[in-house]
Amino acid sequence: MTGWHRRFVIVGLILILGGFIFSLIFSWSVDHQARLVAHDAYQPVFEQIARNGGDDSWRILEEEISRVSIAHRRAADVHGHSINMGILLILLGLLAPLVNQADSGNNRILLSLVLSSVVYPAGLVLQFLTLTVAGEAVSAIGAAGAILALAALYLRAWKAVDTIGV
Amino acid sequence: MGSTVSFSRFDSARVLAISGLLFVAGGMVLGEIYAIYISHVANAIIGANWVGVIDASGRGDIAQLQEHFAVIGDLAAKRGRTMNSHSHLAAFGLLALVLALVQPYVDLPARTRFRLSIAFLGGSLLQVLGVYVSYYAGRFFLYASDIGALMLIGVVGVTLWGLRRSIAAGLPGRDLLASYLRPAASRYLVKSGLLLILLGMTFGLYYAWQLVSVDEPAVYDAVESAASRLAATDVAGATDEITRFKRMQSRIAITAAAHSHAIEFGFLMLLLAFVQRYVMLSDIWRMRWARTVSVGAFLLPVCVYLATRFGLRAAAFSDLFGGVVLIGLSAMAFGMIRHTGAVDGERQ
Repeated sequence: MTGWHRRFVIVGLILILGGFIFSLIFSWSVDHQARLVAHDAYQPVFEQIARNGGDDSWRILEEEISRVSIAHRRAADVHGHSINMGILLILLGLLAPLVNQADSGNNRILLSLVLSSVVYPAGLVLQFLTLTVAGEAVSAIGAAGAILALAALYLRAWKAVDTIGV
Repeated sequence: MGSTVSFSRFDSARVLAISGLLFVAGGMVLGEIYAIYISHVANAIIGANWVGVIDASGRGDIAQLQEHFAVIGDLAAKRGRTMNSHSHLAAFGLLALVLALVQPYVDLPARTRFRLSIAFLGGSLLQVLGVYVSYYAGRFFLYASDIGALMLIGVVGVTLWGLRRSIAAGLPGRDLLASYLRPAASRYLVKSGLLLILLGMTFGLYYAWQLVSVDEPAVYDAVESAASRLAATDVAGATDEITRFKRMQSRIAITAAAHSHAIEFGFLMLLLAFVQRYVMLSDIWRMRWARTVSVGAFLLPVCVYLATRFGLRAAAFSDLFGGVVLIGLSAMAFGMIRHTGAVDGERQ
């Protein structure tokens, strides 16, 4: 295992490991509450309204529960997308020999794939940390970079797939 | 150290590849059970109980309100734990198959790699079963799932450590890939799998924009609006808003499922491409089963997405195409088991 194959596999495993560790720490921090439970956890809001009628005190509770619900969604996104990008990198590492690695254009495509795969979950982490605008920008750049690089790799590898094993 | 997956008896790659295929198949079966018997049913009951919450809250009936939330909480927990088990089992299957492909490069003794593969198997089962059983048998099992997760972290960490000196190991990448892609079914699966991943990622990027700019604000606006109307004693308006809240939540979950299923099926097709030469079937039948998996893998996410517009009719088709993938996968697993039997027979 040399060159891009090695880089893809190692970065892929690091992303998978990061996704596991992040999720384990997060699930401990929220006492293993299921994400779908968090989406329906508005009981205190409606109890408050039932007790106090027109009183506006429920709004603080509602905002807090919605905030927790979004945090759960982002945490699940970090976990799932880190692991999936890791798996994708390892698989693409095996396919990397399909393109001529002496070609500088191909090297740029492969480098873009590795960088985008790390940038994308990093953007989701920023969103989880409530740095919403920066996080959305970073994750959009990472996702778009990964898609463009994968599309370029797909087009360049198309013919090689038919000839390599024959 | 072998340069390809050797599939000898007690080989780590063999344990990981076979358990990976079984996990993926098990995760899909659990997904079908989840979709047909839990998700569709639970959604309807949860929706009805949310309408009950609005009614009870409007009448100031706290006891009735708490009863409705108890039903919602219970079903949401059941749905959440089952979905978690389904998605994790399938994901562990994909990961096991990926780790099987990496095994030839892991610079550790064969016995250590074999123990790691058993630890991966044990950790995966502990994590999945711990989460699933916790709904029925109590929170203690969630800690068992944590132990499973720690075992998986350990396996991936040690595997990473084993790759530190693997530069010279194995055949040159191009020769190795050529051996993997020799069957026509492998080349077909690589092309279709990459295309499906690309389409799934592009759809995901589009939907991420739609989610943060429209759908997610709409969900939280709907619940806020339901509470506001209820506080203003407009029970009918609050009921409409809470119905919109549940509808939007379902729409988000279903659309995200379409995105993730497309990518995961793309991964599965790539992984299956790498193991086709171990599927002991004729070339014609290997290609037929590859096409079967491909048809199901492309159409299932489409039908899942269409469920946001056409409801259970489209969902039924997604269940059907899930079954088509399962049939193709089972046929390939059968071919692999034949291969391992033949290898063992030759050695004896």
